[in-house]
Amino acid sequence: MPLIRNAAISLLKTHLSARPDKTALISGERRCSYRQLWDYSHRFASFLDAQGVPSGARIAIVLPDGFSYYYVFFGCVLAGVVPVLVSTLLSRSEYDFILKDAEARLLVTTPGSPSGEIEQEHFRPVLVDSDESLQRALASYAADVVPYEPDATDIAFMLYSSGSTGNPKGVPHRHGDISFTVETFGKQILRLAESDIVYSSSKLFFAYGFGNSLSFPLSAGASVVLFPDRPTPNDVLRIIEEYRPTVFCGVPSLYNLLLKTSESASVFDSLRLCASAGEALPASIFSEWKSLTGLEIIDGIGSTELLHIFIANRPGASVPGSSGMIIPPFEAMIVDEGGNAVSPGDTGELLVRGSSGAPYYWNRPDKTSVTMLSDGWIRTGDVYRERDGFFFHEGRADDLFKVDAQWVAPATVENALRTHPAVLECAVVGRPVAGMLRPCAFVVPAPGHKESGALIGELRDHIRAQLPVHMIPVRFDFLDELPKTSTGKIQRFRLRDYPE
Amino acid sequence: MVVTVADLCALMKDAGIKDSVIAGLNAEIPLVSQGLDSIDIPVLAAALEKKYGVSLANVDSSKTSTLNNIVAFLNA
Repeated sequence: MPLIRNAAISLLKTHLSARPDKTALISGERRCSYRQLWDYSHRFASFLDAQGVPSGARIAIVLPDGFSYYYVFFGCVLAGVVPVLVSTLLSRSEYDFILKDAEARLLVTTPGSPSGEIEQEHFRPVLVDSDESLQRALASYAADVVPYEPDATDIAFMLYSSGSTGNPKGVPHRHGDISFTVETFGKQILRLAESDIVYSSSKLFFAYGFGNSLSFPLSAGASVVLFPDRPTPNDVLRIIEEYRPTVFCGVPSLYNLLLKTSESASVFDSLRLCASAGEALPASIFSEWKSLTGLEIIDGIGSTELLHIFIANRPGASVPGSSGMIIPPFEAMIVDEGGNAVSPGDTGELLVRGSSGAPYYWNRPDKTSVTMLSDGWIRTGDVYRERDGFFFHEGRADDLFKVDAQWVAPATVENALRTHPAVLECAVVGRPVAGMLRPCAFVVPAPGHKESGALIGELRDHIRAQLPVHMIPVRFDFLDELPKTSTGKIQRFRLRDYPE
Repeated sequence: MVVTVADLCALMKDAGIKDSVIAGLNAEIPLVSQGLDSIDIPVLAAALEKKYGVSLANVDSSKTSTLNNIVAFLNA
């Protein structure tokens, strides 16, 4: 098997001579240069060597976004050890599952994380108090390790995909997968330059955040703004105002909340590009954002399995309500339930093929055989239709339901509902009513509005004016907030059984 | 607790069914004959299931065809 370049070397080495003192990472008042990043990453690789951690072993990283994340990640990759990027927001039982599933040889986490409470046979967790404490601890380790030379099939790192049901699945990626995403979304859509400053509200442990905050900016010699906590809309506004990023990557629900929070557009005047993924961006949010800031939100769709975005709008040519066009050399195909390509304009499940596709799910041959097809196509679970090369999201295959033999895409109803001024956020699911599935809506009311029969009647009329009768929600529940993943995706599956 | 026709009317109002529809209802006459449309019927069913914790999945439709029938069903 031919050797390929170590992913850490691919991303970092060129900067050591071209821009060693350039700021790579920004966290609060602190800065980390490309030289410092290179240095501490190598020292962490030396630390792993000193611990006797062999190449191919897995190390779980449960860290907030910060310099340490990069030192540990790149240190592992340099050593040929497989970093497993795990959310900081999980419960003890979820950590227990993932650490055992990945057979983690070591865990790097923060004091107080429930992941550190889990007893493991092989290790005591490495606790990182702060970036400074890790730097002090690594100072005595050598900065000149020989990087591991991978072959094309070697796993470089692993993410865990939460999925909507069941246990999370390990999604392994190879060294070349990062450079493939850089060549596609990174270079064709973001087109980052050294002068860019990137801020992503999505965290490094998600594929979307990983590309936004690691692969793309570091490949370009740009700078990354890091925020350790889960940002509120006010945090995001403060970060943008203080660090003046040129590129912001968010998710639709956050853009929606920013629109409702922002009093002035001037805070956004450092931005040249906004990106969105995670779920389909409603055309109404695209339009409102453009009115407020003058900027498009570049919407796209990606997945953990493909590592990042494979279909996206092109800057300056966005089609609101569309996820955009395929980014070559990714390929896309929409298929019916039998796996056959549908006629142009018809809906079906989106399949995608590209070199960054995960070869399998870790320890899950059953799921692998369902999702990773033998000819390289990967099932996305998203329902799409394509028109003139643009892909339009119709919902998750799991979320769609039929009413009176007609399909209902929750996003279609939500987009209509969200245009009513009394609706801050909403979600629509199919629930049985008198034994038949019907659309049911969950609404977070906008300030100054509250639940009433009159408002429900008004919302129903609002939908009736826009959509066919079978899409009108028969039940409205008003909530203080919607259940969401840590990236802000609405967890509709949790609403199907509401109240639990 | 005994459920009354007035309770059902209040429930319909809270579920967003229009006052003009509710005001003219005769408890003896099938609801579908009195201006409740194809959405109002499942709206009422959803409200009944939510409020009274019953499932109407396998209930004969004759038991919920009029307000009086619904009252009798819920009080049974």
